[in-house]
Amino acid sequence: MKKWLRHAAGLLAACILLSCTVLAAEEDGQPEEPAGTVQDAALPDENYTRVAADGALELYLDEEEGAILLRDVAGGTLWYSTPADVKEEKLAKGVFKMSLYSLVTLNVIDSATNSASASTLTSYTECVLSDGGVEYAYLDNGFTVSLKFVDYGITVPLSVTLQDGALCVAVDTAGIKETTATWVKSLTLLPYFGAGNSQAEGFMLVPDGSGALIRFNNGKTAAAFYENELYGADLSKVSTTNKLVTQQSYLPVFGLQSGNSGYLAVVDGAAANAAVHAEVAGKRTSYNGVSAVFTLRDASVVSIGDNQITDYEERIKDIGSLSVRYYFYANGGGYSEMASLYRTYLQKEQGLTASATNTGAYLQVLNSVPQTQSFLGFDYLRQQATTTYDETVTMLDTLQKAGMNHLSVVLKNWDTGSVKETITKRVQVSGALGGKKAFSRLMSYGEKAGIPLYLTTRTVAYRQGGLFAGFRDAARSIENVSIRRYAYSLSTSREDLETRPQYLLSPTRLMDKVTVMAKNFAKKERTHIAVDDLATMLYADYTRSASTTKSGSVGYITKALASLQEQEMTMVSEGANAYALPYLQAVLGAPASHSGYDIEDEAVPFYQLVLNGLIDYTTPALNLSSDGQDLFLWALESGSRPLYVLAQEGENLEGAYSRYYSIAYDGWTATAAAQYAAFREIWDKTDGMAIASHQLVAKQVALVTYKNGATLLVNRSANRAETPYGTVEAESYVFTEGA
Amino acid sequence: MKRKTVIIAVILVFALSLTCFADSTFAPYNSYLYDEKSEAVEIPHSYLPTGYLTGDDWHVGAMNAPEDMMVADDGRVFISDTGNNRVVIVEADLSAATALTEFTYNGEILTLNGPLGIYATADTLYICDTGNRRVLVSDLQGQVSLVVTKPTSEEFEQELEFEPRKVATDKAGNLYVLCKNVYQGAVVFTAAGEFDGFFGSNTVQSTLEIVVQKMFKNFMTKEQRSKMAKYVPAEYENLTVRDNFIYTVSYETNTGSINLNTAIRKLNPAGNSITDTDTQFGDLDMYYDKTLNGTVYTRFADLAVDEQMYVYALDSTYGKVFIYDAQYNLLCAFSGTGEQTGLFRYPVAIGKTDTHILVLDRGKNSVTTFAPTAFFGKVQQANSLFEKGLYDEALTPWQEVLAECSNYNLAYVGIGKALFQQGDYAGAMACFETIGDQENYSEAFKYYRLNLIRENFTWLMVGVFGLVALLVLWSVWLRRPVKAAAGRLVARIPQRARTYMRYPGYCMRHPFEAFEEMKDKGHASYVLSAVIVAVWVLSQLLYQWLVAFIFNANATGKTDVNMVFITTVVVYVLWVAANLGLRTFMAGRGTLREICAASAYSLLPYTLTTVLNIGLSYFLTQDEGMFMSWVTMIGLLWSGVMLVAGIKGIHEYTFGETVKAILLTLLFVVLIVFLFVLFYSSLQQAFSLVGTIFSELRYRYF
Repeated sequence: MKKWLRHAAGLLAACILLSCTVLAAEEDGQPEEPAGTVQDAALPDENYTRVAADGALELYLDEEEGAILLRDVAGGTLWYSTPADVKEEKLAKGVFKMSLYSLVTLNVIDSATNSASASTLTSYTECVLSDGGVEYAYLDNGFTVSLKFVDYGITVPLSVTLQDGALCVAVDTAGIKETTATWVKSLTLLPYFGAGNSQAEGFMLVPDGSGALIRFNNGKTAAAFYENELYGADLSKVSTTNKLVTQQSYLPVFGLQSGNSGYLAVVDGAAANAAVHAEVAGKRTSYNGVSAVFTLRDASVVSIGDNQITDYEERIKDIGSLSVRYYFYANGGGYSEMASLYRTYLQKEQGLTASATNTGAYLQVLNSVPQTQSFLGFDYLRQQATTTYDETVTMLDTLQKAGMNHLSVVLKNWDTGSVKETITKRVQVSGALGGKKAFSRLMSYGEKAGIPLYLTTRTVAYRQGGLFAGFRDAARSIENVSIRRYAYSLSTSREDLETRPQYLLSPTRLMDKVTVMAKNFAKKERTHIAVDDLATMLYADYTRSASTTKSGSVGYITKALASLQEQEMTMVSEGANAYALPYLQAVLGAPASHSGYDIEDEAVPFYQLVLNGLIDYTTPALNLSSDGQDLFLWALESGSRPLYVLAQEGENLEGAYSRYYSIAYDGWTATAAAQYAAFREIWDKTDGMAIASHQLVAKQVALVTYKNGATLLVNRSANRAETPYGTVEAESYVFTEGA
Repeated sequence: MKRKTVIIAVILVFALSLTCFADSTFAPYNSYLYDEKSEAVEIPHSYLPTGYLTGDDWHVGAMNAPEDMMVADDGRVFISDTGNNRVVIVEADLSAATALTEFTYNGEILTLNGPLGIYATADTLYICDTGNRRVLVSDLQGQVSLVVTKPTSEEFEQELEFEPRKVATDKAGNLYVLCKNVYQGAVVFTAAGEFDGFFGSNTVQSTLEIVVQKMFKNFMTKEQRSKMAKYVPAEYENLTVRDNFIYTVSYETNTGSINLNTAIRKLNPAGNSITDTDTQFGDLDMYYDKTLNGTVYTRFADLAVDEQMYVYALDSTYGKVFIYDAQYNLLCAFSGTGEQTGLFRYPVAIGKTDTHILVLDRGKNSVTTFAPTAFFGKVQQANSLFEKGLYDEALTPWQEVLAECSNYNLAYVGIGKALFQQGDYAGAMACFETIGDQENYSEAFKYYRLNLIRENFTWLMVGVFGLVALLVLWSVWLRRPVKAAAGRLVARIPQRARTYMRYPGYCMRHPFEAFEEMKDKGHASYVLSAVIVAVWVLSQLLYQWLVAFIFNANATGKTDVNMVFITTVVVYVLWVAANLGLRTFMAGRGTLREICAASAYSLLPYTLTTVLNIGLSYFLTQDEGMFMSWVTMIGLLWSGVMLVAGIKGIHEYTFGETVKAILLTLLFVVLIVFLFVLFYSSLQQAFSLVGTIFSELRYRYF
């Protein structure tokens, strides 16, 4: 190719990049030259040698330094495991500085003393700088390296390969060897891969709730770093105090964008035992980095008398391969692009197929609450109806007449088992709610009106069961006692030991219970169920005869879900971890925000963008929000369906149900219908809100572009916003139809 | 239903038109209130976190363990940045700040050393320069006009260092200084810096322990006395001034009793508390911490009072913010500790601007800002009308609040009072019953009852005449035939059983003769005793369960069924056992059967009056409740007389011996309880040992 032609092509590419940048530009203008990545496709420096190539990706290795470099040829980006300008690093000291040079860091404990404190070992100091510490072996698509932490007798087999357009970094736990009393507690893969330096423009994406952005160099060095377990904390670890309100990390992903280039990382091996770690420059190092940390050992703390004994697991958890896949892009697409990469991953690797989406509103009807009644001062538990079956029919009729003509309904506490919260076995119609005939009336009403009625089931969490339910069926904690989860006090955040404890079903028993339930439901032709606890609760089980890790539980749960699907159950769930998504028709109450950690900058609808067009998802209940208008706007910008929790009467509910403080449906009909109409208008003009891209154009102002070209400008701030895309009043939105 | 719909529509329009105050709907905490049973219930958020500001955001460099913050009336924020020995002055819009490190006093340069407290008016700063043992009064440019140091007066303990912690000033310019280790209250200085005595000392609460200790002190040597723990009044944690009233927060550490009632106090200029309320401030839930070996509960670190006299109090135990209205009703409690924006690590000071709540966090070196939600706006609107006594006007706003939060008890009070004013007493009663408000319910019931009587006066009169007619009918024509018929029925019961059954009634009417006869004729019965005791227990249970709302303890709490059994069956058994034991000592002649019977039969009058009271309670207001007490007194007296007669009769004691026997029996009961407690605690230790062994076995081998 002639030289000028190449220049012209380069210029054109630069123009495209620039325009993308402008489109995605945050209010702070042009991105500067990012560090950690090099925009121009210049060849990497000479210490690195190419070990593999796969389409647009080339993998390089620096054997001397034990560092890798990934070249995204199409995007013209270089991704370093050790930041390119690390020599100039001044802030980081000791082990933190060495982490910058390392592919793997270990957190280890001394098993001889069983001390609770851990120390950090870096692969650079312990392996690369030691004699015989590294041993490379080359493969067609990459290499493996045996990292020997010589002084500690630990060997970690790391493989770095290119697979299907992704960089795949993995450690097989079975291959980790320990020969001394030093035991591995946790392991971090590529701690600073692609990390941005203190001048870089960019951000990290963490899967906190809906998804959150941590901007590079946001100055929040006094804040704690971000580290949260994927799929929520292990429920087998019961704490006497709870964290206040946090959002679960439903998706096993994280991302980083530096300049216009970025990657999305999917933790695809042992995700359930991983946490995402993110830190900003200025805290420990001068770099902004995000990575996956895998827990390999947990400790039991047993109080015997006045003594507390900390005991680590003797063997490394059997969780197979710890692996992270990195997918790259260079179009400046931000979290929208990351979401679309993850959608592709879910469809290709997890077999997620688009289920027919419904435009319409979702309702949760609270049929009853368990209530403590007293006779002569003696307490007993009773099912207190809040909406009988017949009242449900009237309610649905009223809402339809008000214009909400497309509804999906989840019945909560509709059965007798909901009083004592037993595992659902069969369709237990409640007499207190009207009995069998009324129930049939409700079901046939649903069929006639085309309203799917999902029956909420309890498959893993229960409070009561047979004689041995709290003993034989219950999962056990690492201390070898049945896991008892008490409600936490609203005020002191301590366990309230006066409430009835919740048990968790041992995952090995899950299949039996689910099979029985599915058979009984099928017999009564009830095939629509809600599986809230199954799709969101995850825990290890340390029952000695049938133990399973948190990652292992994922297997049991997906098998149970698959079996339910085989038996033609149509399922929805309130919240859902990634592994449950392929089996669900809709996710209710998808998180509408992040947890608001100090280090985080803003919440983005990442979760929603991933699901958009694949599975329906709703907001948390609009009628229980402290600021309904704000949540309504969020629903519009994230393409969520509206959700309401309603009841005939539900005043002054006690205990855990006190959070349903505004559910009387006659008070909400008008509001819900008005909001429904607003949704309907946009649904009809955007193919049910099929989103092409979502971007933040100012603080709390978002621009949504739909696939058919229509746009929606949403302003959730308290001030009128003037943007290049138009002006929008405070707490309001502007919808523009596509050409 | 229709009306509610309209209200909601109005709310919607209101919500859509009004710019909402807070920026986001998310808060990392739950907001809650306490309901009538003192249980926390969730409510919509009243305040949401809007930001987290550090020194870097104001370009004055990071703060270092700041200890105090004051929001002046013009909105400017003054922070004593303790670790950096400086004062940070933040502009009212919180966008920028300046730092004040150097002060000049008569040409001399002064610097700060660990300043703990700060107070500010429009143009004057008051700084506790703790490390330098002085209080500085300065203008905003650092020109010091007054330096206050340790008073030379005898009144101030001269051995003590002068370590000012917190400071406040009133309109006259008097300084109120809280010093470390000074328990007499705030040290007062005049505007000219003259020592002017102490202000509003907290009193030592009189607990049983303290009374006992005072008693013992009289018998001790001086040396012994000095070794005993000193009970000093609770130290004020912090103070603030609003409209010449001084508000304080304090924490009792050493009296052993937890008194949330005085945790917040409002003092008049004379130093007297005018917090005339039975409000328990802070969290009503507390827990016992094994490792600390103590009860963990609210400890207020600071408070702010706004122009409406709302009190914003900051708790450092859990990192909670409590908002009370001018009548000390809790409007909302929220926040906590944690690493999320809106939670704290080590909160030390709270301030209130026109719109926002600010909290200074010593751990995070930051100021967290909170903005009110639309929901709280409605609560405030309703409450301000309500406080002015405009109950009718407040009705609709309260109904709006209730539509958004059915747990908001204050709304029921507001609606109840409005309905009361409108003459809808039944409606008002329903409202007050929902929230367990017996006092207001009783007031509404009084008028409801009056109306009922007025409206149904004719029928009432007809009823009275009818009753009289019935009585006449009874005594003239019916009495004899009915009695005869009853007699025939009774005759079918065996003679022996008949005698036994009639006996208790006879005992009630003629206790002294009856019990003597019982001894002679052997009319005591185990079965009948058991039945009477059972009826007694039942009457007590029924009373708790069925007594009218106004007198029902279940309205505001949960009565303990076990307590009923302990105070009835257990007491009865102990009494009988003790009396039986005493028989040998005092040569009593009664048998076990007779003791059982005499004790049980004596309970009959009390049982009857209890049942009578249940019925009576439905006709009486709270004030008239004393009638019920009188009835109870009569029952108890009667039972008492019977018991004396019984003991005397069956044991064949003289009167003097009887009194002695009863007193000794009581003593015996106490002794048995004491022995049982001893036994129980050692048993408990044995159990815990077995438990430990079990848990170790389980941990190791199963």
